[in-house]
Amino acid sequence: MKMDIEYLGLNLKNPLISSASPISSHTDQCKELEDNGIAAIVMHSLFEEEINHELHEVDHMLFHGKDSFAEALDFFPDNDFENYESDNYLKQLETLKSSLDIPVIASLNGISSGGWVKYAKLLEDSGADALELNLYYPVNNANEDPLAIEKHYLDTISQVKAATQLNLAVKLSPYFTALPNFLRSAHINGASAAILFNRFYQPDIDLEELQWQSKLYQSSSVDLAKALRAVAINYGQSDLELSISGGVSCGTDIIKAVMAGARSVGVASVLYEKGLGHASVMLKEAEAWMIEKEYDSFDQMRGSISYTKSPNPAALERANYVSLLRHSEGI
Amino acid sequence: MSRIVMDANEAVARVAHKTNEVIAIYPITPSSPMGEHSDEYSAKGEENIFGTVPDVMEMQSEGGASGAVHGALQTGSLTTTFTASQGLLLMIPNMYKIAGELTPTVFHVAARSLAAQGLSIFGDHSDVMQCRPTGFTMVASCDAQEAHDLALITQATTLHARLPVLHFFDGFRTSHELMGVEVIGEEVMREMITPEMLNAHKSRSLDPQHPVIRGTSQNPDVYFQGRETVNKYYDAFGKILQTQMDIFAGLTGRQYHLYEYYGCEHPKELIVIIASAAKTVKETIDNLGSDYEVGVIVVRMYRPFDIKALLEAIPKSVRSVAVLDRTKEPGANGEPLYMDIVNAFVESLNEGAISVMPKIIGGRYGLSSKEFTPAMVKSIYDELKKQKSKNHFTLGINDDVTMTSLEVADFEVHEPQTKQALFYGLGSDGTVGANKNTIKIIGEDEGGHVQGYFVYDSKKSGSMTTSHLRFSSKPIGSTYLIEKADFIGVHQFVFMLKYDLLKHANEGADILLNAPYSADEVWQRLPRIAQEHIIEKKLNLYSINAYDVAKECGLGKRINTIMQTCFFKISEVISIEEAISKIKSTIEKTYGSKGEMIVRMNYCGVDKAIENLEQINVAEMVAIGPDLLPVLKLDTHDAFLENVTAKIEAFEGDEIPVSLMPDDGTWPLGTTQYEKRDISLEAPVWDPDVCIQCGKCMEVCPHAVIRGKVVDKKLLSDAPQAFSFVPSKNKHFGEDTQFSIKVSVEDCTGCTLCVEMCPAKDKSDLSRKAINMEAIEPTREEAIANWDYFVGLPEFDRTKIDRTKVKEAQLLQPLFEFSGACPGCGETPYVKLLSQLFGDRMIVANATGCSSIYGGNLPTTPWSKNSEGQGTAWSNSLFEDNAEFGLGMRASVDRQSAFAAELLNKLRGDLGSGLVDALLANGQTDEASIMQQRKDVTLLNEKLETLEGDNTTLLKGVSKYLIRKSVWSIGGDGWAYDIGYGGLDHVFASGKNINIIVLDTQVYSNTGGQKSKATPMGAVAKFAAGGKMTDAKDLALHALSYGDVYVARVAMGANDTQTLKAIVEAEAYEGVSLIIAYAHCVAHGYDLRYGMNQQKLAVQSGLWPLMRYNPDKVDTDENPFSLDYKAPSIPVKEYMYNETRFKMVLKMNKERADEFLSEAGKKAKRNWICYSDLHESGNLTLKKDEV
Repeated sequence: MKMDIEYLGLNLKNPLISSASPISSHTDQCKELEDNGIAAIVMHSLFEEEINHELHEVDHMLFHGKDSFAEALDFFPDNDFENYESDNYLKQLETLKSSLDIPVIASLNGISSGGWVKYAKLLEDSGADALELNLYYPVNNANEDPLAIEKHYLDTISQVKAATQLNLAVKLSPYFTALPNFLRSAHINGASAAILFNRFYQPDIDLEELQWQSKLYQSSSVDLAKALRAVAINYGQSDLELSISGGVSCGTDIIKAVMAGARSVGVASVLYEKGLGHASVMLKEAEAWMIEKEYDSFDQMRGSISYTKSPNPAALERANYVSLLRHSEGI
Repeated sequence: MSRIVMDANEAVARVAHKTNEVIAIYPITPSSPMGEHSDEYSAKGEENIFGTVPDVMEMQSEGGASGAVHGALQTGSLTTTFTASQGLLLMIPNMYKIAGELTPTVFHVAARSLAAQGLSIFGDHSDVMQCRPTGFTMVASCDAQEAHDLALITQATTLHARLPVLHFFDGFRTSHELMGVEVIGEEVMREMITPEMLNAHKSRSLDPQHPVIRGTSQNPDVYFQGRETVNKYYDAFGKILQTQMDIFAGLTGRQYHLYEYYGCEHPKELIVIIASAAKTVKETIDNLGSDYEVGVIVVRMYRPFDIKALLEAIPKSVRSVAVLDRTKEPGANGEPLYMDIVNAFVESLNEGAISVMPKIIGGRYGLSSKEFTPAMVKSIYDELKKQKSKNHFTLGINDDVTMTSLEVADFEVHEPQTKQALFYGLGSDGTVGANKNTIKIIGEDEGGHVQGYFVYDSKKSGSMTTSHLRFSSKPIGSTYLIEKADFIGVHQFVFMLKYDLLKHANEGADILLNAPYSADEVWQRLPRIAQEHIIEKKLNLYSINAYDVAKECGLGKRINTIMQTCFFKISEVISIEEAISKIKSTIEKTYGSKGEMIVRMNYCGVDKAIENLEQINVAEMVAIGPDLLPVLKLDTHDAFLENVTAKIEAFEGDEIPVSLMPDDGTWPLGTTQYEKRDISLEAPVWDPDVCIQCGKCMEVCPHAVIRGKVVDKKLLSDAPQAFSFVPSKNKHFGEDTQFSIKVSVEDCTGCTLCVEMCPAKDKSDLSRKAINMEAIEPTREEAIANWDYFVGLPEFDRTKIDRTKVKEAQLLQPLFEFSGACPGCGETPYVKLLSQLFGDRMIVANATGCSSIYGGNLPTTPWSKNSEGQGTAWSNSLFEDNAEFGLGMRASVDRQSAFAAELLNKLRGDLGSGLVDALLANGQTDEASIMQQRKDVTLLNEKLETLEGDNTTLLKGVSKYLIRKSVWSIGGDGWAYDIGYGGLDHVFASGKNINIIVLDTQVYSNTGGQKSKATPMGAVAKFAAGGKMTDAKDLALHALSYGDVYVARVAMGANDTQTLKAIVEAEAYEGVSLIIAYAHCVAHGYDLRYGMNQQKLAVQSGLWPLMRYNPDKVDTDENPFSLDYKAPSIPVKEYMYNETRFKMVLKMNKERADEFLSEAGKKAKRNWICYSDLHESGNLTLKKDEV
């Protein structure tokens, strides 16, 4: 039986990937994941805002209050800075590449296309095997045209693609009006894969301070269900590879994901909850299921329950929604 | 040969660091950078020529530094120090010792004025001239190259000659003037200073292996002879110095002489002068016509004074001599160099070395960096040519009192190969930094001759910087400011609206404006006078909206590289491609090789600069623009304000004649109110419906621009239409009392601390508070009218105000307003609070530091008067003596009030027992009783007018001391923890009723962030480049040890009620009171709008404990020790990492940063244990069971 698959032009020993999380800052933890069967590491995201913030911070350190007053032409001694977060990312990428055998995928998160192109090239030069682009532009203004937003995403994809030889995966939010159309366009513009879905900090209201406060909720099975449906619907509508991220916690989730049409699945929350060794538990479980159910490979089962191949596609349609509501008394 | 661009401070530091083993300093402007450079070199592990890294120590004062230097020298190390002005004076006692013991060392001095009628940070020779009798030899340099060279030459000389050297150069003019310097290589240094020479010095050290004693106490029988043993060393010095100069010339090609003649072969008129002005004289000589047969003697070796060598250097044809001194000795027959030259000629005549005595006149010039120009040089030669020449003249001022000044000729030097450029920027916008870089590019890479000199105005921020840049194919001799430029860059458009900058433009000059408008809008925005200059002088006008470009590239407000690129494009000093390449490589060097992503963002600005630069076609334009904005808003006719203050404000202070200056350095109060600096685009706007009238916004405002008043409703009947007010929430003020908050928009700096502090939120829109920042422009006139009306409303009856409540105390009139402190300053809210509580009867001894600068830097002072004419009498004496200065004030006040009481008793019969007893019995413990005393003293004075006799006259002189005075010593941590600590400690022990407030910024803020003993562990500061390794002194514990000192630690942003209580209690306590007040500061490295919040975090983290100790409560049921904060509740990181001074370490070394965090966390715990123990145990003065 064959566990290995192809994703983003990379040969992976199985579909299980470590999604973007702080785990990637620790080389020893990544090694442990590799030993536990993880097929690829996605590095924590490099945020454009963080890079900008760091620039301003360093600028501040270097130039703050300078040349204003004759007695105090500056306030700090000259210093050599080494510990640049943005460059630590490149360094860590190089370290991971030299320490691991499995592929390392770099992850970018930004909002201006100019920024992405610059960083994409640097990441490629530092040895990234592929690139994940987090496309999230929060639309808060009624004047912002939905088509313009999608065009911005698509332009970003094509600009980055023009600047690098790396294969691109785009990680998306679940809030597209017409996701299948967008995914197809993404592929035309140069994306090789789409990761469904990104999860965001959802703020809560602090009634004491009368202000918003941010909270991060761990992913759950609700997230998985959303992604399964989306992958199943979209599978086959273009050559875009699909990946599921969020809510994957056990070996059978991997099976479900591949059956829906995914190439790979990403895990993070469950590794925090249950430890890095849980990766091998999941893989063993998946393998056992495949052996029991006499599947030869993931390639064999991929997309077998996708929308066009589903035995009961109505479950993915509006009728199912109506029926679920009608019969929901017991919930 | 390639040169590196640097100023004399850096040029000297490079040599001093290479040729010494121990460096002990104390920072003082303008010498501080020498010590800072040395510290940076050592921090980077740079070795001296002997292969070891020098130890750099920052001491607590210059006195301390000279002691440490003496000690290090006596035990065999090559040791040096750097200082100026007051600091040099403090070293004098040790200089006598060092010279008396024949110890080789070189002290490097950036010569600066001494504080006399006022302090000055600028350059002249007053300080070094006080050192003449110490026995130090004195050698002077004229520019950075000479300072670099002579630093080495003197170091070699001192080791051969065993006499210490005072090496000096002009403060600012040379210490800060950039030029291309040919750097001396280490091989040359090693040739001149050998290990054998080093060991000869070490062989004389204090060494237990071969012990000797020095510093004996001598008696009349031998002291005199002991003093005279040194004569042969002084006799030999000149020759040794010249020999070293010659050796140096052989190694480098640069030849120096003790006395250097320059000029025509047979001059008739001669100038003798020391230091940088000599270059201007030389330049003038080169440009005077052939009818001037003139020359100059540049004095390099001033002590010892070698008459023979001097006379040899002077051509025999000289008939008249003018000696220029850059100092003043009131009461002397003449200034030092003049007296030396006269004596030289008299002795030479007596000995027959010359047969005719030339005419010799002397004059003073350049005091405190007053300009010395070619026109003035010509005036001197013209004066010398006259039959009768004026002696003891002054140059550069108009002395219309004692008529010493010479008329200055109309004369300019024209050097066609030299291009002159002026740049006007806003402090912190990067203009100066970019210009320094431009000079480096042209002076180093391209090999041209360059000069850069920078002028800053007197405000701590929001100030205009002027860069004077010169580029030439030949060496530049102009050691004076640029009057007429070929290029003028104005980097802030508002300067065009305020000042006539283009009067400095040459015909056909290029003008570059940073304008927040499109190119076609710029012309109509210019004031008429600028338009006239452009048309008449046929100027080429360019503009760019640099802030837009910066924003596009994510650079925020940093426009420096954008403007710099434009300069190169327009001026074509080098090709634009080369310029861009050089600018980019500078960017890369600045951020280091590891800042790749950040570097690329900066490149964007450079790339976009040229595409956004536009030339404006002025061919068809007419000059119909508006007038310039007025510099002062005077609402009153006052000759002094109009003729002195306003002139200084308009940068025309040089024109003020001596007769208009105060004779004794006394200046009037309340002048900042006329400045109306208009530096903010936004100001807070009050929403009366949301306001809870807590007073916090007014409390935290550093500049007193937002204030509240309560008035009776009737008094508002003539209020302007838009004047808002609401019923006061304080019912005990009266039913009809109204409350209003108003803002002076013309004075607001836009720091937004008031908004940050405001606790009241609009329930229907939580983004809005009771005050919100809004653009000033749309409602400006209305706001000004409201403010003017508000200021005219009477102050509320002080006797009805509860001073221990913030919301009421803030209704008291601030008598400290609109200072030049930085926007968001953490010190001034405390100072302002003092002025509200006690300002009408306060005498302040203010230490040198930020508070003396924002408190008293001309032309204006923020200390002001109330409607009765009462206000704070304020003085800055020195730095080190501030506690003692205040103590002297208290002793004096007490003595005079006791004297007044005695006189009252003696005059009881004439005055009546009723009045006398009332005056004597009044304890004056609250506003009401103080007010009563004022009334009674007025009554007393009226009665005294009707009486006669000596006692009456005497009582008239001291009756004012019957009114209670509040005496305060105010200063920062530099004074209190370091240089003034000895005096402060003595004041602690004095038991006198003096109040001390330490505005603790935890660093030397005024002089640019050198560490103090108040700097906490982990903070980056100068002389603690990697983060301070040791923790701060706990000054409170020191003071507590006396038992009878009132001690409080406060932080307004954490607990303003406790702050207020502490101040009121401290002042009421009839003994020594100490308040240590946490003050956030620009030197901490973050946006100060969060300053008060940082104070809160400092306390919550446990790193700034709050407490009060009140000796009045000893022997009562109350605990004298009040613990005013809770156990640490947040990790120290949450406080520390909001501040660059701590976070910087993380950028340098993560492990060290983590260690500092860990230690800080432990410190916070230890603070808590220590202070809660003091609180619970009563250990200070009583046994536990007695509390």
